[in-house]
Amino acid sequence: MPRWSAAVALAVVLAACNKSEPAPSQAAAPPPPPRGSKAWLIETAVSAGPASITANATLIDLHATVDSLKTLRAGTNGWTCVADDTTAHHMGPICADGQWMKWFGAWMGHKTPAVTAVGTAYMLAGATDASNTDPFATKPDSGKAWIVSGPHLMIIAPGAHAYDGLPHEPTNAEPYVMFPGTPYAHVMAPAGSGHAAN
Amino acid sequence: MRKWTVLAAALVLAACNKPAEQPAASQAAKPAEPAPGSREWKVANAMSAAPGAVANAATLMEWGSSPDSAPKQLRAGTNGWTCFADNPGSPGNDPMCFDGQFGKWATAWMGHKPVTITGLGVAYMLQGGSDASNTDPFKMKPDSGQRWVDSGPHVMIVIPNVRGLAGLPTDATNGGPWIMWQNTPYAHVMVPVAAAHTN
Repeated sequence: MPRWSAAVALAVVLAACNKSEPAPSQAAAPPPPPRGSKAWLIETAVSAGPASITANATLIDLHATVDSLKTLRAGTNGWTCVADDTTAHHMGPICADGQWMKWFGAWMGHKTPAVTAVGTAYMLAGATDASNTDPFATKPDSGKAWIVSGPHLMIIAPGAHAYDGLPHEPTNAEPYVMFPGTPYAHVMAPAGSGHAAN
Repeated sequence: MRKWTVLAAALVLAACNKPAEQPAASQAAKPAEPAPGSREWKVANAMSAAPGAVANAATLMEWGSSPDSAPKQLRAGTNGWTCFADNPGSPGNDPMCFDGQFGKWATAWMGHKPVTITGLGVAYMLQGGSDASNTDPFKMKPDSGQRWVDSGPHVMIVIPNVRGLAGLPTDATNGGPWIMWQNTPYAHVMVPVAAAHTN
């Protein structure tokens, strides 16, 4: 009987610590805020970048219908983190530096971005894109799938030949060029963990 | 006997609490961890520098046993990427993986030669790394009283024309990307990629 109880105790303890290992914080955390709420928007914006950036970044909601609601929180470090949207194929939240915010402004206005220095953006919560070749596609061509990316960095660099030689295929493996040959070309660099070696 | 049960449970709990507090300890929990310094260890160490999809098909290398001896290949690769295991001659664990352009850049830097890359190059140091100086590309160790520049997990970006890096932040502690070795031919971007916190 003592052996039995020892074995059970060990098994229970082991099961408890096995279970808690993969997602210890989620199990204990309160329920997530309702999708689309301000708390949800802030949570998604902050999930896009390293804490060292998001802690002092301006957080914005691009889809707010009222201008006064666009800024979720003012920041101080020159970075802007854009909250995710609530659509089915949501693009994903993003933290962008000044060069990238200029780039986004140009992209949304269908203008040519003036990239004057290397710019960095983070999408550590992943992203979904309609096309790797058409910057203005709103859904994939018929028969094609949405391009789903894991955590990644995005890099823009000045110069017409900035991305020469890099792969153009979104393999989700190596860094590659999205929208190659267009004014909106940029590098997508996977930034997932280095531990999934096998 | 009851006491033994409690003790056993306490030991198990202690053992499973540790990995949660120290991310690095998760490696220790894996069953057959190769002995440090063994070929298997070097292979795993080199591959830990980059996302799995990059490292899986990369050529893996180890540094020579002395600064003057040539690096040795641990395994041939197929994707144009090269991963070096930790450099025993530098502080900390600093394996790295880089693409062809970055490899050319690094060769130029190590040979004190002009950089002639023709496109953007990328390197991963997801285990972090240390540099003797954030301003002097050829400093072998920090000036007296100065510390090593310790960087956490990061990606490095090189571009053919360093003028594209002008005006960008150079402070290694600003929390975001910064330019190392600014105003030299070897200026490059250091991009921290530590995981996002989820509040």
